[in-house]
Amino acid sequence: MSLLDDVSIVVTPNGYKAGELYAVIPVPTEGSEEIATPDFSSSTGWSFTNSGGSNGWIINAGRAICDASATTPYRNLNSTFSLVNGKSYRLIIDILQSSDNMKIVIGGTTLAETLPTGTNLNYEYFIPEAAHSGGGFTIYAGSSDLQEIDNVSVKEYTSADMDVTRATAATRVDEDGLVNYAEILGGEEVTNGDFATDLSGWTGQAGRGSYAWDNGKAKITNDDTSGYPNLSQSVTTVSGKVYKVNATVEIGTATLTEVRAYSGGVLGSQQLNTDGTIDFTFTAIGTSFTLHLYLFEAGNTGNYCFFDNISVKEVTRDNVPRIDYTGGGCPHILAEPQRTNQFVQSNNFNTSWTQTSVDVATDVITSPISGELADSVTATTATAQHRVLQTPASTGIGTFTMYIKQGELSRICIHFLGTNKAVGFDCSDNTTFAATGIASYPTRYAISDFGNGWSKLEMYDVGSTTRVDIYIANPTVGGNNAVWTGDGTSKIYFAAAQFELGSYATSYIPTSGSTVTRNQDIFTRDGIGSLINSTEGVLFIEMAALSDDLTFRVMSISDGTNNNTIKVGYRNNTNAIYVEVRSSSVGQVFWIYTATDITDFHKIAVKYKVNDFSLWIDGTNVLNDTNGNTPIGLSKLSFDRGDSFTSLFAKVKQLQVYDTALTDTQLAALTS
Amino acid sequence: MNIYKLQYDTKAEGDADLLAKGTYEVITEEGVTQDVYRNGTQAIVFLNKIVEIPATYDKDGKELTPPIYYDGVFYDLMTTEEFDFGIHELFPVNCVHSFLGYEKNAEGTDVDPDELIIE
Repeated sequence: MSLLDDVSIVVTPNGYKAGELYAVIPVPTEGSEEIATPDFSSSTGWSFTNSGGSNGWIINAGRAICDASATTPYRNLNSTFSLVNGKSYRLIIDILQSSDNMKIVIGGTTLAETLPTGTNLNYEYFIPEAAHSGGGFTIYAGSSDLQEIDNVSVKEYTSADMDVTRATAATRVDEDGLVNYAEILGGEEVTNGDFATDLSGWTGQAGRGSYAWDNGKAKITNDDTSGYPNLSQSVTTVSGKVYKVNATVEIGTATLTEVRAYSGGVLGSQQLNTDGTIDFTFTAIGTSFTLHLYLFEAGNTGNYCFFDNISVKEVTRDNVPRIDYTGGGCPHILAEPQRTNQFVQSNNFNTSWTQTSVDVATDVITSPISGELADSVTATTATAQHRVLQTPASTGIGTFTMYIKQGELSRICIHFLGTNKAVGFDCSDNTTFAATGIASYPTRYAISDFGNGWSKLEMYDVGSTTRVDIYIANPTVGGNNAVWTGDGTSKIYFAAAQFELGSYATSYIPTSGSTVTRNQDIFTRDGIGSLINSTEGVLFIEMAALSDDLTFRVMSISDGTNNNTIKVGYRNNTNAIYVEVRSSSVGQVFWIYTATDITDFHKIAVKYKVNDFSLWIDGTNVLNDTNGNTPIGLSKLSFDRGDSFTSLFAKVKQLQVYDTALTDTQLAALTS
Repeated sequence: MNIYKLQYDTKAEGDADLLAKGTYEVITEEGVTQDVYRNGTQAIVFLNKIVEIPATYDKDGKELTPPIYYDGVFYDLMTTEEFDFGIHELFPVNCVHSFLGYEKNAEGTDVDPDELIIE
């Protein structure tokens, strides 16, 4: 028998959208339509508490209307359909117009979620099992405002897709090994961005140059002294939405190109002086903008360049789950705590960084940050310390991270003031060395290959850091952050500096002019009691801790409380994998297994059945308990203990729930 | 989404007000205390003191003049709910802190994600 015969939930780093991480199993299924007359072609299946004309709801011309002059209470539109306790449903409704938030009432209980106001809205709402106790379906129109709706659909819905909440953007390592935002892109807004056969859809500005189709690319030639020839196109947008612009540039004989989003002012732009790709985002301020492709120079008659693969797409970054490819291979789901980059300038070392005997050139080399360019830092000819420094906005116990790349120079020293700890890093061979003059090493430090010649370094100390100094170290002598003489040309490359209060590093938070916070990742799915067997089963997870920071971090299947829960995670014991089973508020099983390193991935399976509990880790049965009851009413899967406390911060490769207690052979196979 | 910029005389006063308004809850698990967001709170960011005039340093990096701070301590609160913080709510024009994906000076109610910048 295959394990898949018994599995009821499988979540992996797979499909997702903003606010949702799709489960592999079960495949989401919808039941049949429960509303007798969704389109209001008749009043069959509908009734009104206060019916008719100005006194409340009417059904007219294929829609349901509640008139503004109806000021009676209980303006309810009732369906003959009753939701069943213990089941989840999906509601879809067309709100033709609504000036007050309508509400959903089930069995006489009003749901917390209200319907939006506005016109011509297609609204979709998942009604989880936990949100209702069954009963008649009613739409409450408020006390006086005009409401008009159509196409009301309610269907039973079965899924284990996890809700993802973060409310801010966030970065991760993408499949190309670059630090990149987790994002969802919308449809293509540009017409003929690939110049497949011609330049149709594009307008060349007259009197500045010539414009030609050239084997699937747009060629712009500078043939007029007024300069800045460009192709342009008006692109439709929605005000307030964020859009991502991409383009491919062949520099040809030109010296500089630019892609610009313009609408009464520059909304966003990026220049290139070599072959490469354009990648920037901007916020729309109206219903359209003009996209310009510039050969960005005057004079130079005859200079030319090429553009191709022009793209503008709406981009969504809030609440998008992060599929992280750090280290290559199979990705994992990344769940991190709230953190703030305390540097107000993370990636431009010419601004907000105090410089001593260095020359900083911005945007000179491809960065490990997707679509961005990194800076070079050159030691001047002064006989001095060669350094940049920044004071974190909030000082304290924290972790510093940064990316460096070898130029003619490869060695730097990082010095934490306040705690007065320092260490040297050499990105030519990713080794560390002692920083002369400061004998004390920080609590933890490391440098590792990040790919494409870049190295990532991390440094943490238990003392309170008040300032971070980055010295270019003497290239020829041992560890040295002291005085030496540069040659004025030799340099090293810097990118993406971050100082965050906390004992371990998290994903990169870009800053430019202020400190910036990335919110905590929250993963939950409730209302899935039909998928979780409370009397017996197996909870399996493959995960690695972000750090052994001795805090409580668990995931669970539960009844939405800490009273009935099976939780697996980490705790305030070094390298402890922790399992607790509680039934009716009483602890049944309590295990602590000490792993070699909880920041390594471990396959953990908990079998639960009355008087038959066992813990399997990486193919081995490590703990058993033959005395205990199982939890009652398990209906929620979440990265916390069930009631949003003790959130799990970890890297998760897979998560499975089985509705039977597997055999030892199966458990060994599952966790091997 | 709503973003509030808040100022209090002390951290104790700020924590107490935010707790009283139900933005977070303090729980203890096996003796370990933890703050947990409640009632629509997405994030509470304690900014501590805010520098009005930065410190100055000599060429060796030694501090010549210390930073001068604004009075009190500061918080940023991101929440789906609306609150009346009274005199504690500020409306700064050049904010020192923002949320990733929101413009630097985003504050108030019904704030949308804004331009995203990597520089």
